[in-house]
Amino acid sequence: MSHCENQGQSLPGHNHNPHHNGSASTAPEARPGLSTSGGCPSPSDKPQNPAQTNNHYTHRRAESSGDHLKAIIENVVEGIISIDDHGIIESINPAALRIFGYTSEELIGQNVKMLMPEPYRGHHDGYLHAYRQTGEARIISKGREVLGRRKNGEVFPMDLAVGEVNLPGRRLFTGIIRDISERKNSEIHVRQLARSLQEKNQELESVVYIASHDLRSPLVNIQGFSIELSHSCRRLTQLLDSSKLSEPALQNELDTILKEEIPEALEFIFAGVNKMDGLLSGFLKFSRLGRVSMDQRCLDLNSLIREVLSAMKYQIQQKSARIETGYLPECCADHLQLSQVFTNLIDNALKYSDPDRAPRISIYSEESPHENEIIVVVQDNGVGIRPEHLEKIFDVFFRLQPHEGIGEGLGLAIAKRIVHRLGGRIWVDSSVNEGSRFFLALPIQSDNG
Amino acid sequence: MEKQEVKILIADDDPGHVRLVIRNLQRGGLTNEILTFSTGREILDFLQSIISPDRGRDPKDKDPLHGSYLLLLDIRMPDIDGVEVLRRIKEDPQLRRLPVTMLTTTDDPREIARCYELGCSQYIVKPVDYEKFAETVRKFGMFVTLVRLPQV
Repeated sequence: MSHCENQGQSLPGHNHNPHHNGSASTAPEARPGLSTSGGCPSPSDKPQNPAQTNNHYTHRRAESSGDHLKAIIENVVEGIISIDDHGIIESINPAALRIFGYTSEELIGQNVKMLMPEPYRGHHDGYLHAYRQTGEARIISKGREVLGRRKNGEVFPMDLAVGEVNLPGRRLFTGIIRDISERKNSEIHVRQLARSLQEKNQELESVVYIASHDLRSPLVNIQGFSIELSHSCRRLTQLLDSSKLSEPALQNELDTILKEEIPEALEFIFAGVNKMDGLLSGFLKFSRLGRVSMDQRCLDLNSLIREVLSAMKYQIQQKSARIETGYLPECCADHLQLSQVFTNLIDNALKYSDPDRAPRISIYSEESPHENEIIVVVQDNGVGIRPEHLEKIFDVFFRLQPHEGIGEGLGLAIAKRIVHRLGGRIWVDSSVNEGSRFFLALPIQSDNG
Repeated sequence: MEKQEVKILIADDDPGHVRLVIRNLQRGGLTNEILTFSTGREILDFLQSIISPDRGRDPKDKDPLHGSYLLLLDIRMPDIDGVEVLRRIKEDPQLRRLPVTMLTTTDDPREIARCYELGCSQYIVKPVDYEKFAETVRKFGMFVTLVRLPQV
């Protein structure tokens, strides 16, 4: 290396000499830029047979190939920047100027780190220094995705490939840059779509699963007890046809059939029909939610909650529940639909209250780790939810106390569906016998803005 | 040897389904005692009560449940579902041999496969075709009789 540098002092001019290019090509083991001693061009590398015509030809060809290369570099879509080994920009093509938004006067002679955002900006000189000392490359001769910084301060993702060019006496690094912010944005968009598709698919699967169970369940009863009824009818006919039975025995049998078996069968059939009817209207209600158009705008949650509570006044008084509300920040949602969500949550809190204590419901906000959203908590001191049910409670038709005869198992499924359509999230945290906390993350700004 | 009467346990949260199973078992000629449970927790609590430490300690009673109980188990139940009940039964060394028949409305092949993997003896899909259902339940009744006979 030092051998090259010592000899290289006299070479920069030489380097631009097309004669030199021609001569180097005649010595395959002595490619310029190779940092072995054998690769250092020396005066003895001059052409052995400098035929004038040949030289002239080489010169012309080199000149035209130089113009050709220049034209390519000026017109490629990729940005090309070359720097010296201290990071100082030596040349930059128009595409790179367009990408970063500078003029070449603003960049030539400046440190390339000005095109990087922090923390890379602060590290770059260190990387170059380390490479000069140890030769350990972090990015050189590898391509990778990095962040760039435009003149207007915008940080954007780019593909960067860095090559090293060893010239006699010094070396250059050439970076080829492609602005990939558009591709990145579409990638993010595609990922979001895929995720929402996956969620929809899961929702659909769970609905199909539920349909195969819950919708068939009443049918088993309706059909089963209809057949029981026909059995009863057949036996009635047989009894009335036969004269073998004595009066009291006949009366006994008739009593069993008419007063026990038939009414029981009818009762199960009617119950099955009603249940089926309820399930189907629940399904319709749930599916209609997907078609309701959302009128998403900035809302004062405090007044929305006041309205919800006043509409539920009767239920709240019946349960002697105490409701506490903290100050809630603004969010962006559909007023009617979000009211439905809070109604369902408060309704659940009242429904699953602990009989041993008066219900207490608190509604307050919490700080979100994410920008652009707020978190509202609806906390109760009810019976709580067992860990194994935490995921199921948002399923269609899932009910914690199916025999209590309350609810249709849709409250939370509807709440979840609405919140998702509003671009938010809902989740729960609960301890058995202590109570539950439902969390609602709602956007501050509209998605379509 | 003392005659052992097989007791039939039915765990199903739908009272109509339970009544239908009972009526059909009886029409099939079964006189066995039938106990019903409407949640997964109820049936598990019952099973725990019949493998009390006392029974386990009796040296002659190496397999206290064998041949004396049969379980008809529904899948979709509140609190603990049937698949989980089955898993816990097959994990318990004292309950493992209890014959379990899944009796449910799902015909999801993945769920059926899962139940067989866990070790259920039989899987009956409650069909809307009631005649077939009655037939299956009656066959089950016969199965119970066959299991009982060699023990007399």
